[in-house]
Amino acid sequence: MRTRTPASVVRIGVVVIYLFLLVGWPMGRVVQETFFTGENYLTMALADPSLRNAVWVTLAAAGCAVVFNTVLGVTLGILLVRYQFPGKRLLSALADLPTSVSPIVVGLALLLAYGPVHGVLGAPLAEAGVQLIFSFPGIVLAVTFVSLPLVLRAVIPVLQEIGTDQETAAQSLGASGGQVLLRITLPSIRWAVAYGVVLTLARAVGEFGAVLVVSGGIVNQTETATIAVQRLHQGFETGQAYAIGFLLALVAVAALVIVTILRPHERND
Amino acid sequence: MGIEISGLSKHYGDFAALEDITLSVPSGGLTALLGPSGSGKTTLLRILGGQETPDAGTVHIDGRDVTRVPAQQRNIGFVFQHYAAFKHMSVAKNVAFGLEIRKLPKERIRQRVEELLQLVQLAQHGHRMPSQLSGGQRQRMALARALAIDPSVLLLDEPFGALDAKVRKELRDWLRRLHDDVHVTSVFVTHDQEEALEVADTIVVVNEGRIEQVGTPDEIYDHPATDFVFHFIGEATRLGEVLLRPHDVLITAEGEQHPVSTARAGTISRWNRVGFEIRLEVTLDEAVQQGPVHVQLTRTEAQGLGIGPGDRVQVAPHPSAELRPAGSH
Ligand SMILES: Nc1ncnc2c1ncn2[C@@H]1O[C@H](COP(=O)(O)OP(=O)(O)OP(=O)(O)O)[C@@H](O)[C@H]1O
Ligand SMILES: [Mg+2]
Repeated sequence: MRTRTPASVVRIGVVVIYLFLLVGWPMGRVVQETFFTGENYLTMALADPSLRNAVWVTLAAAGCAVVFNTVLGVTLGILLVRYQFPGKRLLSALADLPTSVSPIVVGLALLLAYGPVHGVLGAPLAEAGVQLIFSFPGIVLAVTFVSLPLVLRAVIPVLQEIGTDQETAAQSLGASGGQVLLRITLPSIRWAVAYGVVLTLARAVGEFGAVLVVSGGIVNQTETATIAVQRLHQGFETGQAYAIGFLLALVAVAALVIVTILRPHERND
Repeated sequence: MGIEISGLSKHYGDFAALEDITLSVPSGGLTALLGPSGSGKTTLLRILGGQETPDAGTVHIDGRDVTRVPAQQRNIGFVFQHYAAFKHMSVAKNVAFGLEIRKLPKERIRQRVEELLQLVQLAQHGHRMPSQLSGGQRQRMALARALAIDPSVLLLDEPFGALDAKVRKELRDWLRRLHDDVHVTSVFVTHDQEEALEVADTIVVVNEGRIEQVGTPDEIYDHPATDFVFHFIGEATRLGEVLLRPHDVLITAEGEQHPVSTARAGTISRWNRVGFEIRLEVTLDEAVQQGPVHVQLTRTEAQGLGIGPGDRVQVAPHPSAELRPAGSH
């Protein structure tokens, strides 16, 4: 620790005020509106079956996105860091695309590809009785798409940093490829994976634009929590809108807190 | 028995990292691969360990052709410069790794790990994480881990390269003693000639992917086969038409009777004290060579001779010194 000088106190003060004005105070207002304006809007909101359904849809879709993107992120990460193959740079750039494109564009793109009317794949699938768009699978598709590279990007620097020495050592001690993966590589990157999972979860839970296009936002069916917040807000049920907003923030904060608590045990090496 | 390497070559693109290496490493010995950076030491070691495949040639270990056998089936212990500790496992778990892979009974593993930790003087530290150990301790742990599988060969790639000078020296002595107890055929890579001379039974000097000389430390030091070995294995200086070791230069003050009649006169132009040692330079009166003559003495010797900076002296090769004809340089 460096000693505190007046200048450093000022610097810290500026940062704290900035973060408070930008993050702390507005979030605090949401909490205030939810709990301290006469009613407890949270219990009220959760008593509403359509809102319960919306929260459930959001969590389920986010859960699916986490599973898909974790498997993809870890596999692709190992592939990109440990192996040489043609088209590697292109693949790496392609994996970054989903976070750089506006979510609403993602939604439109998915609609064009998988939509029941114009969709190249969607039309034949619709005829076969499988509906991707305006249903739960479409929502999963959208949130998986927008949060695709988050685990990958968390995992890659750690894979690069640990290098291949441990894996080589394990191999020389008789471990097979699978054993090296399970006993050395995966445990070494588990905190990076956890971090990526948290980011993925937060991103998937909070997604609005892409989901709005592909889900159709049918109340009690394909409405997600973020879409419900907009509906409530526009319908002047602002208290309940804040309550759902509070829940969404809570999921993200809880995930971040869990990772922060778990992480220090591993960091001191 | 031991390791038989024959006709081994390895190219990276056009670049020849190893060229036609033929070498026989005796069973039970401690062999040093000594050479400058980029000479191919690590490449050779990785081929022995099975991490790299040669373009041509064969490797036999204890009579078995292992050239195409994958690393995990070779039963070779490998120790890395940067320890390669399994960071997420305790010290005991690290050492147990190879045994757990081999599915030994739990009780046997526990006993063997305890023995090995005793052997490398880490018995108290089994429950710690590698990050809680010093560099020297981590490397001893890595050694125990490699020895756990009863390897037919132990390969060490600059095992002490990441440690500071004092720990390095301690560990070097310790490795020598350990090897005298354990007797596993060992090959270690180093670019530190002092380390090789002190620890190894046999030294293999490599340069630019080729073997320059194989021999005991004494043979290598006293009878270097090539100019490269002569220059690499110790310091060298020129005195007139010959090259020799700086400590093989006989020096006396001017006016004293020099034991060698052909001694040349000169002036001490530099005087450097490094610990117990004096390193000095003598600029000769006659222009028989470009630079000065380098001389090494102990402080006591210098005092006995009564010489100091700026003094006039006479120098000649020691009569029993190993001399080499000087080239053009
Ligand atoms: N994977 C590789 N691809 C291309 N060139 C390589 C590769 N591995 C090694 N080389 C080259 O082969 C030569 C020998 O390398 P090697 O690592 O065996 O040297 P070394 O003797 O161990 O050197 P050091 O003392 O610096 O570790 C070097 O010139 C190196 O650049
Ligand atoms: Mg090397």
